[in-house]
Amino acid sequence: MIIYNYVFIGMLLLGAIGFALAPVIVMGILAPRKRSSSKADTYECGLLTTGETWVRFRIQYYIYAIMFLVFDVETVFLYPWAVAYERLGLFALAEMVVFLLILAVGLAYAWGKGVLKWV
Amino acid sequence: MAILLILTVFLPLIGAIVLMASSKLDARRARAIALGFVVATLALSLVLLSGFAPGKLGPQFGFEHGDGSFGFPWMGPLGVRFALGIDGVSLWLFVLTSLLMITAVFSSWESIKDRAATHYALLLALQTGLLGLFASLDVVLFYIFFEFTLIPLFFLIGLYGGPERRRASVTFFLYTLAGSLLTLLGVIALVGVHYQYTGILTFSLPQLTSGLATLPWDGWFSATSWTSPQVLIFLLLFAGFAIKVPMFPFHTWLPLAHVEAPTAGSILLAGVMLKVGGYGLFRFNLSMTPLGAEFLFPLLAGLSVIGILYGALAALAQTDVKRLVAYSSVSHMGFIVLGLFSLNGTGMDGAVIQMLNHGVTTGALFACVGVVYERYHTREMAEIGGLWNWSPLWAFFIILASLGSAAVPLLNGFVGEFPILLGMYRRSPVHAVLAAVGMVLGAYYLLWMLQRVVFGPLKEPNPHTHDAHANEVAADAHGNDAHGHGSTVRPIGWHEIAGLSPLMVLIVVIGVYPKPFFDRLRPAVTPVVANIAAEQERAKQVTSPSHPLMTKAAIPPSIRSARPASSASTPPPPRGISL
Amino acid sequence: MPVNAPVLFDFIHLAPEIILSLWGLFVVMIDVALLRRRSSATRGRILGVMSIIGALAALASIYLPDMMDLGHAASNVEESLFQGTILGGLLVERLTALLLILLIFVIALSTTWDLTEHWGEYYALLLWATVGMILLIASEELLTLFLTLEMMTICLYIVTAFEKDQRRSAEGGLKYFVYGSVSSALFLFGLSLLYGLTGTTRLAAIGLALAPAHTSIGLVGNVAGAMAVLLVLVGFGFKISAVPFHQWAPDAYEGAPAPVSAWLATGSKLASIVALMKVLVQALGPWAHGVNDISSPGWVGIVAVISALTMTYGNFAALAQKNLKRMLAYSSIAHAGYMLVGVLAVVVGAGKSAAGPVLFYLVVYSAANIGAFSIAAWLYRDKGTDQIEDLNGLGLKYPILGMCVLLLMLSLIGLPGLAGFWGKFFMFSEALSQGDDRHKLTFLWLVGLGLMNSVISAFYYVRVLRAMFLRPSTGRPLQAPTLTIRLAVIGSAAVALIFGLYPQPLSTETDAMAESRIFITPSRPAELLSVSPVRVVPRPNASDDTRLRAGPIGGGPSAPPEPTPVPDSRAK
Repeated sequence: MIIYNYVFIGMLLLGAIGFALAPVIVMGILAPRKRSSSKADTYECGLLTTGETWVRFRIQYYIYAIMFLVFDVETVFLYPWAVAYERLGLFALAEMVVFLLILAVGLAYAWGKGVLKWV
Repeated sequence: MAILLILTVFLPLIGAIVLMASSKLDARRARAIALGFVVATLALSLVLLSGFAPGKLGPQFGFEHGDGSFGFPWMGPLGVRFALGIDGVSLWLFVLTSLLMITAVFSSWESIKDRAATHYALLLALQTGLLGLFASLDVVLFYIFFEFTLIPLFFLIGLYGGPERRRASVTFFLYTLAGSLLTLLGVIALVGVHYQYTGILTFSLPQLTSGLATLPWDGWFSATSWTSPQVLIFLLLFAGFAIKVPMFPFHTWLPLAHVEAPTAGSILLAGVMLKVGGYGLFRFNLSMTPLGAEFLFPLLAGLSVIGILYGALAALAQTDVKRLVAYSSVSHMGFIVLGLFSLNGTGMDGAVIQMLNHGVTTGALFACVGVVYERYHTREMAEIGGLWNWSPLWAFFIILASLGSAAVPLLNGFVGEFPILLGMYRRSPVHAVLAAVGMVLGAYYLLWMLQRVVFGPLKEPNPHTHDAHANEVAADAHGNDAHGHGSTVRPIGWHEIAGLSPLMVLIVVIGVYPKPFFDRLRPAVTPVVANIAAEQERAKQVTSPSHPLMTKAAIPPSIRSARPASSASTPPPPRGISL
Repeated sequence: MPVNAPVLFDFIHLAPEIILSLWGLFVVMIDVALLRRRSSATRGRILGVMSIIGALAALASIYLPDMMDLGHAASNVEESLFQGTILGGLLVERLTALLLILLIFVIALSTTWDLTEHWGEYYALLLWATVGMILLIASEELLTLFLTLEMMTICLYIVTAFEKDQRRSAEGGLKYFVYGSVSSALFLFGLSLLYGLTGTTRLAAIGLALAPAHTSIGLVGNVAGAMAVLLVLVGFGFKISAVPFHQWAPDAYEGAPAPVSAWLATGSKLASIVALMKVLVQALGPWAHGVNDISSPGWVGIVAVISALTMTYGNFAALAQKNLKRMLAYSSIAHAGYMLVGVLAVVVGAGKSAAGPVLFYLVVYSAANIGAFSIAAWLYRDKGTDQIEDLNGLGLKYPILGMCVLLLMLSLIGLPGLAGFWGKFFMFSEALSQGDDRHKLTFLWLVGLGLMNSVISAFYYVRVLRAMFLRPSTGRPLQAPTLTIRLAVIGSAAVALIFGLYPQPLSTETDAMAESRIFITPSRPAELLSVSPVRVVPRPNASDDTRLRAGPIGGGPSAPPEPTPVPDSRAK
């Protein structure tokens, strides 16, 4: 019984790997090859890079990223809640409000600390 | 009277708190206050002494209840009680403590100028510790006082001692603490064994003593190997007390602590603290685990004799008077232990009276040395001599104390050491003869010390070359080497005379008429001796095979869940023993 | 799956936690909003007072259920809240009160010097760490336990590194964090194994699942079980800084600001030990040792070895220390070793009374440490260092505080007449009285080792006394201590002295606490299982669970009628 299940999984796995590998292989066979120096360059948003790639980023990027992440995850949390809201009732509403309020306090704190200001 | 006993024990503590609270007090006021408290305590002790009924068995002044318990409940579920009371053995040590405190206070009269209030507070706190220790009828209370005495002495030595004082105080503290924890384990084991076989959880000393003597467990009375219960517990208890005494291999802390301690500290250390060891051996080891003493007799007697001879020889090799007296203590304490382990009435009587004697004479000797050191700032026998010429009275004091210590007949030492040797002779002539050799050596080093320090032409060191002391201004002006006659050094003061003379009186009184002393201590010693005989008899009857270690050794059963002793009407059957 | 809304009354029992959490937010917001322009010192003081007010409010709210006359009507099964995930009742209430009192002292000590400029965050983290501790004590199932443990430690990682201009603070915080996160991962793995083996996360239900009739079966041949136990012990060993998981402790204690070190040594350790005791006794009890043989495979042997190693190593390492906080760190490692002896006694004795002494010891130990670390705070404020030699002459200059420290040190050694003595006395005599004769050998050598270690510990505690009383003062002079330092030192010395002279009130109280929560056998097993938050899936093949159930069965409560969770240690 169990072995039978694993066969399906194995087949799925093979299919997935094949699906990812196939275009690469097909490209390698079919595509014309014309090498030039500009094709080997590293691009960043369509522009040529200048200087080292190991540059120091501003700390604000990180804080920004964290702020973004918090609210991103909040959305992930909100969706299933919204879907199941009918069954959860008033108690879940109260819990979600508390959760959002705490997040709001966090946002206010970040604001107060000057995180939202780009200097 | 029972209230009076509690008052006597805690009166010095009140004084200590008063002095500690007013630590800015100048030396004059502080010493006056301290003297007041000490004299009051002595007076109360003498009242207790006069009220002590000589022939009565058991502890007195103890708030005795009908069921054989004393004092007041303290920690209910455990059955620990706050019980004080004194019997013949503790009586004399109790009074001795009160008396030596006077000497101690007088000997610090002039020498302690800095932080005097704290000094006297520490002395008074120490007194409460010692008095409480001797008067405790509860093992936990005993142990608390036992450890409490360490703290004031630690500071007395560490704050007011000689140049090596820090090392001395820390060594003393740790050494004693290490031993006493083993003693604690032994005490817990005693209580546990008693509880396991009688069903009565008690920490009361009299109840434990009588309970263990008639324990319904044959294994308790077979002391045939090192792992027998009595022997094991004996060794645990012995660890702490042997360090306090100190017995021979455990004596190394003593010379350091005695030499570095201030005079008052030395007096109390040698006069009373060492007796705590002897008292503990008597109260615990001999009263509760006599068969252990019986089994270990060769070892114990051997160590005592080695201590006697070693102490005497070491004293002979000293150039410092105080060190000499310190080593003489090792030797004399050996006698006391030897007397205790003779396990017969004569020897133990002698040992108990010798504890008092040694306290008196050694206290006096240290006080005399302190008097000299205060003036000359040296204790080297090479640097001082002929002090008869400086003060005949002082010379008389030290000679009398030395002779008393050397056990000259009609002085107190003889009264103690003679019965000890006699008792020991009955039991083991070899040990007695060897100890007698130690006695001769004792006379030799003491007389030799007297010859160098007291007699001959006056030899005084120039005080100027030593620590310039405020008291020595007069001598300082004199300048050049103070050879020849006519000392310029301050004569012996009234306070020193007052501190020493009661001790001198005692030295003679005990020597001439020891009967009142023996009368009071015998009722306390006799039951112990009788119990030893009874246990030996019972040991012969016990033919039980050896028990596995675990069932007979130190395992107290569930102590906290037990009932207090007083409510135990019918003892449950012995619990969980698999043989 | 329908979600049962927890009874609203349960929230009232959680009032202290809720108040502390919200108050943390409040303090942060006040700091950011209203006090922006104030100087750092002013903010520290204002926010400190506010945090203390919050802690006091939480303290008062412990008695809210009583005041509202709810009693324990809301609680369903044995005072448990939220479907049995969180415990209410005397044990938790009293320990919460203790933690909050300690917290107040820690907060008060924080104002000694200007250790940070981010005061709002600092106090908030302290408050939230406390929430974690309280819930950790109260947690009754593995997930809650893990989450609260993490809540506590993550807050503590940050406050440890809070003195940002001090290199050692950052270093201590980083070490704490790295060790802590690794051990948390291992701990979590251990918990997941436990869940896999028993099919439940409830502590009591795990205990029942492992041995339905509540008989000790040990870990004979049970590799998965042994693995789970080891990993759980790693996790807890880290939190209580037991050897060999202790390496973070000296660095973290030394590096952290003194009040935080105090909080690490008292609150964190207290909560972790209580939680450890619960997990070992309630959940893992059947694996303690084989039937009637303490030395057969089981975790008792492991914990005994850890305990012996911990107290011995802690004391010997403390001997070599020159820094006061580092010395106290090693001494707290050693004390963890002593307490493990008590924990073992609870397990082996299967007795509620045995847990009382451990709690007694925790109270006494915590009080003494608060006092000791406040001295470290004082030194650091005036001298910039906290070496033992900085104490030189302190006792003579400040005699009253000196006397108090004397009492604390002697109490930590365990000198009779002081509370530390009774702690050791109760705990060790309890250990010696547990179990039958065959157990006694294990305890005998543990207790003997404990007493030896007390002597060793005297060496380094006395070194503190020697510096304070026997040496002339050196270095920069000490200014007069702040009121908070005075209060902390005198208060903790008073605890040591009062409960030393008269330990009975405290020991009665701790015994009552220990008995209020049954530490071992749930009386209503069926009910406990049925309210388990994790659904128990019955498995058809129960062929290989006989090994786990080997041993005499009988005498205990009957096996639950509901689907029996079956150990699944050898999943195919």
